[in-house]
Amino acid sequence: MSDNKSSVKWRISILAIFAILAVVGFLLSIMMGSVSIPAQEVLDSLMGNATGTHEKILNSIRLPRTVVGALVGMNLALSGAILQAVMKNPLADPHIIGISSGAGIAGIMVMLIFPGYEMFVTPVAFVGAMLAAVCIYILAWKNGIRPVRIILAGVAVSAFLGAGISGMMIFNSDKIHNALMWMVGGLSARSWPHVAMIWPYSLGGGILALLAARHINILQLGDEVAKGLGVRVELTRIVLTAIAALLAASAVSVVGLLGFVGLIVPHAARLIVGSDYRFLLPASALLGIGVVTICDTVARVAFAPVELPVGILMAAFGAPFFLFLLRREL
Amino acid sequence: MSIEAKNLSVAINDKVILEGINASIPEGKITSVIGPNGAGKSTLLKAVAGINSNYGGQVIIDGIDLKKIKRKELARKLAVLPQGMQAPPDVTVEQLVDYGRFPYRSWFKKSNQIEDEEAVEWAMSETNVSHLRHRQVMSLSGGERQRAWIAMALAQKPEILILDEPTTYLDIAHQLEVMEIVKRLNENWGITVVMVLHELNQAVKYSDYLVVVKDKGIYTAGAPDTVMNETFLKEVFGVRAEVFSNDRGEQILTPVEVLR
Repeated sequence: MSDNKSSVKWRISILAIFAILAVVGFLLSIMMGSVSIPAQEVLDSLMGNATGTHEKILNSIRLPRTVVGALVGMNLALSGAILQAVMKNPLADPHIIGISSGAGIAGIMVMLIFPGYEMFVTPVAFVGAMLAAVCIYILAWKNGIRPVRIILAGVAVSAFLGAGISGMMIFNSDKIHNALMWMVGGLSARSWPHVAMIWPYSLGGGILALLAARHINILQLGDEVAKGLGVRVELTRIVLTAIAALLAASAVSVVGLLGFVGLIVPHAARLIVGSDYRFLLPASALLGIGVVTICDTVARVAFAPVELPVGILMAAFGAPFFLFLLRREL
Repeated sequence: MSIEAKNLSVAINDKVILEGINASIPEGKITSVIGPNGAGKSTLLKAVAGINSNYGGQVIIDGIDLKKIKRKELARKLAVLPQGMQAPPDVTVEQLVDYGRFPYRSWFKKSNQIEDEEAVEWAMSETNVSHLRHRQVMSLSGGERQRAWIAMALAQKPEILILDEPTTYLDIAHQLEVMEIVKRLNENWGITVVMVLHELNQAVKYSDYLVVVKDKGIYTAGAPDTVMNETFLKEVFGVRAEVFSNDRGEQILTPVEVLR
């Protein structure tokens, strides 16, 4: 296994498998739902030469929702993969830099206290997420950044904001439904405007992350070794954390507090392709796309006509899988 | 390449560790930094190697202020191995050594692959880890692992090699192996070596020059036979020891008792 894992051929074939998984997940998510649409029509529609109701369903409902799901999966997985290296902690994910609690409190504030302005949930949540991340970074700063201080500051700030979230929900328990859906995270009714909100971050963040892969590899050897090899460690860490924060904030502000993708997917990818970030980053991104699109398809189809928020399904599968990983590794 | 510290002072969390250090480390020689625990040996090494740039005074490398040298440029001249290195569990020896080529790579320019490969092969053969290339670094024995890390530093093609306690935690055979590698690198390739050592007999045997750190400053510096004597051991380490020469003319010291 060990020799296999480090051979380039093995890692490229895994990438290919993950890519196929992503494409399959994407297509399944478009085809399946309350109305099944045959593959031929999906292809016709994607080519732009189809008409009729199926075409309408595809273009205005299924396709944008699937694209949002794919981008969210990719962003959260990339964000988690970056943070695990930057924080030198296998448990690091977008939560620990405050993205979830920041987006959570901002989004819920809009929903519960300014219920007429729900169209602003996404931008406000994005701002909230970034503010929380900056706040944690500043609180953790003392002659430079130690990952442990970020993690502890993150826990404290998240607990603080969590109190605010709970408080608001208790005082507004009559209109709590949307807030609950938001806390769990789901793709229901996500459409083209959401795609527009998220794709620039996916593109920019994805490219920057891949460009930084070699730096991330070196960072994994520890701060002192990395400095000795010519990496500007503090600067690299700030830039990478910012990229991770933008990736996660854009995802979370659109779909709510989707848990576990950012933690589980990079972990699973690491177990399979190893810790070389030139392979791990694309592997995480592809696996993230596959996992979210497939989970969302199941969430829509399995309990039809009831639709589960994808967040519930992923946490329900993610938690046991995570425990399995923990037992294997430790 | 020469290294010089001018009026160097380092404080960590407001606690002064080193104060007013003036030292020059001879070019093309092996220099060992010795002294009691907590005297600031590692701190001195980190400042000189550019790992900790939070210091007062100046470090001059080849006539240039260390702070004016770009990190990557420095990494092509000077390689440093701190203590307690860790790699992700699946990194192989070859991958690790290849990381030593990082300072030669950039986003804008493709690095010379042949040069990279040659440097990696050279580094692995100098440290005798070529046969371990596909093994995972963390699965190696302590001595093999230390050699793999030295190979990574060598792949940087440095003119100066800085090692912080390269033999600590190794058994006597592996200690000797590491010291012999260091000696060969110095003799065959003219690499200037600076290292922190705890084992005084090793320091005497393998060094051309000793820098003794004590009480935030430099107690003395010079060739081993001028530095090492009974008074020195008493004043710096607080031990009574006997120093004598063996048949090969090497200085040997034997500690007798702690003087407190």
